[in-house]
Amino acid sequence: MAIELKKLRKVYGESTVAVDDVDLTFEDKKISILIGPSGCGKTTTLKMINRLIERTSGDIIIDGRSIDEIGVIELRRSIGYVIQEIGLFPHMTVFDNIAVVPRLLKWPEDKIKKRVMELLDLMNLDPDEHPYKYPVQLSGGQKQRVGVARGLAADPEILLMDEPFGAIDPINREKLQDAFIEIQEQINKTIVFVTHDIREAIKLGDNIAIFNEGKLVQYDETMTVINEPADDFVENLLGSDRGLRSMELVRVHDHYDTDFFALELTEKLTVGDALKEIEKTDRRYAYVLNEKKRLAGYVVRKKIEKANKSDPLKKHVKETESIHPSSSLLEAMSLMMTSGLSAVPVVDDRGRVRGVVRFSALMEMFGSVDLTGSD
Amino acid sequence: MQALFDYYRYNMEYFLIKLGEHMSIFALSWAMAIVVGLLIAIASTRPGRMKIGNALLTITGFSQAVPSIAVIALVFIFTGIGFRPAVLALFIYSLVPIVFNAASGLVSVSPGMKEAARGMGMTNGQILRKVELPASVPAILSGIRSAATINIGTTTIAAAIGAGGLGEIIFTGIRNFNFTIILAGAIPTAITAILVDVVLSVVEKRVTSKGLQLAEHWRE
Repeated sequence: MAIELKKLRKVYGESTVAVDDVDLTFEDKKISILIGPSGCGKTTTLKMINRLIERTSGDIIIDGRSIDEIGVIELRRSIGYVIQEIGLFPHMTVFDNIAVVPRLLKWPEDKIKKRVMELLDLMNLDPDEHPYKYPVQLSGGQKQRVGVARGLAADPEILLMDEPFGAIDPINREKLQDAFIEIQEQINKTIVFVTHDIREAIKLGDNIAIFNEGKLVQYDETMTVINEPADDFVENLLGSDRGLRSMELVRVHDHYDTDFFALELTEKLTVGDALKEIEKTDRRYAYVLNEKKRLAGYVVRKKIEKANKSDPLKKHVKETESIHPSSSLLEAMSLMMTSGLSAVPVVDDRGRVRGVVRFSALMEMFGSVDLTGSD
Repeated sequence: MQALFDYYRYNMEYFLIKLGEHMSIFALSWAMAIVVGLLIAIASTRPGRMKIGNALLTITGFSQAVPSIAVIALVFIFTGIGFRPAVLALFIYSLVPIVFNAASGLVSVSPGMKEAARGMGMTNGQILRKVELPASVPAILSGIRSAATINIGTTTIAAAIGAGGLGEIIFTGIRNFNFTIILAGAIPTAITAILVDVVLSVVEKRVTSKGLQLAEHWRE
C-alpha cells in the first residue's frame, strides 16, 4: 500500500515548524528511508502516519483513504510499529510480546500460536527455546528481532520503523540489517524507516527522503541520491567517500541486468549448434546452464568459432565466478578485478541465474561520483 | 518467660479479643488504603496528568516523615476517640507509602514502552491494564507490604485513642511498670507484622512477572 503525504505540516505552539509542507509518496512494497539530523522532522513525519502525533494541516492518504477516515485505534492496529528494543514489554514473554496486536484484534489462540511460531522462524529465532523467554534473557540483537516480529504479527501491509537498530552495536547492527533485507524480500511490505545513519539508509533504502529543518530536501531512489545530491546539505550528509561507501552498501540485488544470454547444455549440444544460437544475437559470450538450469560456466564466441564445429560444447565451457544477489556492488567489482571478467553472473540461493552485473554498468552508475573521494 | 506464659494462661480471652481488634483495625484501614491509594496513584499518573503525579510523589515523599502519633493526634482532634477514628488515622497513614510507591512505579514505566503500546493500537485503558500496572507490580506491592508492617506496628498507638488492640496491653504494662505485660503485647504485634510480611512476600513472588524478577536479579 502506498502512503501519500500531502502538504503535511506540523507546528508546535505558535510558530515552531517541525514539518513544513512535505509532499511525498512512499511506494508500495518498498523500503523508504527518512533521514536527517535530529530535529529535522523525520520522526515527527513517521509518527503522524499512525497518529501518535497529530498533524497540524495537510493530509495522509493510505490506499486512497485519508487516515482520518479510519478510527485511530483501528489505524494503529493495521500498521506495524517497531521502535528500539526498549519498546518490548519486560513483563511479557517473547510469545506474549509478539501476540499483542493479534490479541487486541481478538484472533483465536491457535491462529495466534501458529503466527508467532511462523514469525520466530522468519526471524531466525528458535521456536522451541525462545517463545517462553523474557526480553531480559535475550541479547540486543534478539530483542530487536522480536521487536520486528511483533510489528509484523498481524501481517500489516505497512511497517513503520523508528530507528529500530539504533541501540545495537555496529557488528550486530550489520547482521540485523542483512537479515532484515532478506526478510523484506520474503514479506514485501511497504516500510517507512527512520534512521540517522547514512550507511543504514543507503544499505536498506529503495528510496531515501532527506530532511533538514522540517523541510524535505530530496526524495529519490537511493542511487539517484548518491549520484545527484540535490544540494550541499545532501552532499555533506553522504560524505566525501560516498562513491566507495555506496558501492560497499548498495546490493547487487537491485542493480543487476536481466538482459543476458544463456544456452542450455545437453549431451548432444555441439559447438556448431551453440554458435548458431549465439549468432542470432550479437553477444560475445554466452552463459551455459546444465540440465538442472544451474550455472555451468560460459563460452566465448571468438574461442569456439575456432574450434571444431562437431565438438560437444561441454568441452569448451569455462567455469566462472558468480555473485549472490545480497552481495554488495563493491564485492562484485572486486570479483571482476581478481577474475578478469568484465561481467559476473548473479546466482541466487537456488542456483538460478538471475542476471548479470557488468563493469560498464557499474561505471555508469557511479560515473558522476568521484570514487577516489577527493572532492 | 514463665511469667509471660502465665499472663497468656490467665488472660487468654482478653488477649484474643485485643488481637482481634488489632487485626480488624489493621485489615480495614489497610484494605481501604490499598483501594484508595491505587486509585489516587493511577488517577494522578494518566497521560497529561504526569505533573500532578510528580507533585504527589513529592508530597507523599515528605509526609512519610510525619510521625504516626502526629497523624493519630490530628485525626483524634477532628473525629474524637474510638475504633472509627483509629481506622481513619491508620488509613491515612497507610495511604502514604502505597500512593508513593505505586505512583513512582507508574511514573517510571518507560515512555518508549508506553509509546510502543499506543503505536500498536492499545486504548488508554489497555495500556494501563496490560502494560503500566503489570510493569509496576513490584513497586506497587512493595508499597502495600511496607504499609502493612507500618500499619500493624502503628495500630498499637490506636489504643491511645481508645480503639483497643494489642496496644492496650502494652499501655497497661507501661502504666504498671510491668515489663512482662509490655512484652505480652509487643511480641504478638511483632510476630503478626513479620508473618504478614512473609505471606505478602510469597504473594509478591507469585504475582510478579518472571520477566521482571529476572530483570531485578540481573541488576544485582
